[in-house]
Amino acid sequence: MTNPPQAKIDIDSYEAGFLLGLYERMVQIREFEEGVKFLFLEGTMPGTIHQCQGQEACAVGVCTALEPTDWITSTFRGHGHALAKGLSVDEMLFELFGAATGCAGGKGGSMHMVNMDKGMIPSIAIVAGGVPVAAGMALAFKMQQTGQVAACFFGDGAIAEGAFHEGVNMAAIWDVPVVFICENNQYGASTHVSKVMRAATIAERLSSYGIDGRRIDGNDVIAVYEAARRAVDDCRAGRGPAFLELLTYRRTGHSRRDACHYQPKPEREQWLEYDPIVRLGQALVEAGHATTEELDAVRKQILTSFDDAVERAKTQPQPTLADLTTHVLA
Amino acid sequence: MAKILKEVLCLHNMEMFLWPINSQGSNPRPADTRKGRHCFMLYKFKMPDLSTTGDEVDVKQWLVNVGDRITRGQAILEIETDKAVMEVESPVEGVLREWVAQPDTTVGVGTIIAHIETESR
Repeated sequence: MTNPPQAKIDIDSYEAGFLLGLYERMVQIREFEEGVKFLFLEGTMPGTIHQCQGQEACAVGVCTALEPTDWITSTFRGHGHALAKGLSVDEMLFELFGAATGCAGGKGGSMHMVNMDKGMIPSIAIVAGGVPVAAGMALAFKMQQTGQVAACFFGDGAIAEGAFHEGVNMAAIWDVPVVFICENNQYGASTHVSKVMRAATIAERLSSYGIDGRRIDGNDVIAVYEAARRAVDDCRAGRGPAFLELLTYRRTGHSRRDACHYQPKPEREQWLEYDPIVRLGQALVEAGHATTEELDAVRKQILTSFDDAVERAKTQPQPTLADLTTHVLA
Repeated sequence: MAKILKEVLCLHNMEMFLWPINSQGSNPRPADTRKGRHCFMLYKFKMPDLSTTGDEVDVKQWLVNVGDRITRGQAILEIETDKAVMEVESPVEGVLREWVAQPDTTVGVGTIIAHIETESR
């Protein structure tokens, strides 16, 4: 059992506007995921979904350190990354409803969130599938001297995949501008990370590829942001690749059909106390940047606009037969 | 059976009734509501698609009673899928008016398991 981090969030060197922006974006992700969960329970939304409640600080901290022109790769648990990279609730919800107006034209669904204009290639549902892709993207950035950086999100379940090791190694030997971000939520589906890795941290593994990796409190959005900022700056200065291990915890099952019994109750309760949104909220209140009522109002506003988006999503046009052969390569 | 004065089918599982309504021979009207016509929403909670392979799940036990106020996200029913015993959360806030799903029975995904009186979401 890995104990949750204890340290208080240090927000002293940041302005209230910036901090409230981080808070709002994390709440946006949490409420999006919760709202989608209830749509699934109602039967309004078919299929299954992989959600990221509890891991919001990872997505928001990293994407805040990126420029709009930088690119990310994501995973099957990609709603948070998409919202953090600037995708709208509408285009994502419409996609979940299979609408032609969704971000992937209704053809991708939950696991393939995309907006190329906002720097997000379709999220890749194959575990570790994004690692070699991100290395390749970063190689292109380097060869074309575009100054862009690729950020590659994956989970602890990816670290024993062949594609992970090949992709990380190639990125390392070519010195390409990619930040590998492992959101270590400690469970690959139902398997604890200790069962698939003998090393104490994932960061240790990366050092064998010559990539400086560090474990960071992934439930502290400021710590994530600062580490990501350094990593992105390093990459842009030609000192890539970089690696971040963000220690966090998944508040939900692996997918909607997972009862999550493998998370021991004491461990779960301990981690739930270290909720990234609650922690930042407390820091904001203590510093006098916001009152509890103001933070509640932020949440309510987000909830209202989510409900409005759901109503719009229900009446969006579905793809037609003619759409069947568009965006198909083979 | 009491007369349903008006029934408006709304999108996605929600039906609106004007009082009185009687769905299964019992009068679900709460003691605390005022007399006369009372407009409310009766949410038909259908069994979510929680099974990994099949279309059916076993109902184990009710976690709340008829008349209880329930919150959104509250675990209200314990079921067993092909994979695990798990709890079903309510997607709405309201008062549980009727259990349709009975313990120790098997129900299909999408069948109504409970009626929950809601105001609006």
